[in-house]
Amino acid sequence: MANQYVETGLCAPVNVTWEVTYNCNLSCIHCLSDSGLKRKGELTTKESFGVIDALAAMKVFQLNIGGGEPFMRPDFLDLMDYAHKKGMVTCISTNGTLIDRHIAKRLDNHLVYIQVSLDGATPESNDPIRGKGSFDKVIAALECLKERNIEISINTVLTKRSLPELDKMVDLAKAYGSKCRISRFRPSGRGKDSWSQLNVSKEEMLGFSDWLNTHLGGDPFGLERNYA
Amino acid sequence: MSSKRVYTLSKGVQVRKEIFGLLFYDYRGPRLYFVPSKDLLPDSFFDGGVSIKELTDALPCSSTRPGNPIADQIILVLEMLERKGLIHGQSIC
Repeated sequence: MANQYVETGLCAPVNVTWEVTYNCNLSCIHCLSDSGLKRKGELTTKESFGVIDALAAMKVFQLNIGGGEPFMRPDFLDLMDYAHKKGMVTCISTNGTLIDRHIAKRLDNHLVYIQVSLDGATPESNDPIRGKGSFDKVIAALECLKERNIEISINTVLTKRSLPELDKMVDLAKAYGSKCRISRFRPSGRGKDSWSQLNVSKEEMLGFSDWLNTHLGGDPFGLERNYA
Repeated sequence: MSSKRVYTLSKGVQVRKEIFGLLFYDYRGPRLYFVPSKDLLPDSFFDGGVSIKELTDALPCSSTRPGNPIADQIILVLEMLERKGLIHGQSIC
């Protein structure tokens, strides 16, 4: 029913995805944006406020923030505060390793939604992909976000390593009142180099399809499910 | 429903004008609601400064008398939006 309205065209996007920096403190072997160092030409704080002004003037409802690691920007929380003052919802994709109590307090706003990446339910499975010590830091971040009752989602890229751990990932999400989101592995950025090592086989993908049918009542497109 | 009622958006709900009418965004979900109200219902109505009566009085050839189809349709839409939790109504008299 809604499609007939979309086909006539909307006056502005409903949401805009903004990769605020390529700077990242991790070096995940499957990173699709090949993030690491800040790159030349990234927007200044003033320019970034201008972007938010422009999007708010267009009445864009939601900003999906990614990177790189957004919290690597020293001005990031100020940018988010500014977007919230304009009434925009922000969905922040983060590796979670920089979130502490102070940051969680700043993020404590009903307009904030945090998506934290984890690629395994234990340090043994997660850290070889995302870096040594990253699992424990993410768990600490989830604790801080849970304390504030901030809406969170745990995002896992489907790989040969994460596939056997999906049940544990669901349990982990439940423990933090979080959604569990499973993303496709994409052969982009460093994902091109790790593709042959990590990408699931056709048989494994069929197994994943069965897993979805078991867990989501046969609705493979309802990938997100709230366990809160 | 009192025609002296005003409406404001619920927490986390945004609205904007589109060619077909109004597009509501509810951060719970998030969900979108398409309201084909054309120009009859401005998004500024949900600032809460204008009552239904003032809105319908301002429409061309309109009145709030019973049976006025435009006013009736507007009231139906507002009731539906309130039922879905997108807006809150408040009587001003």
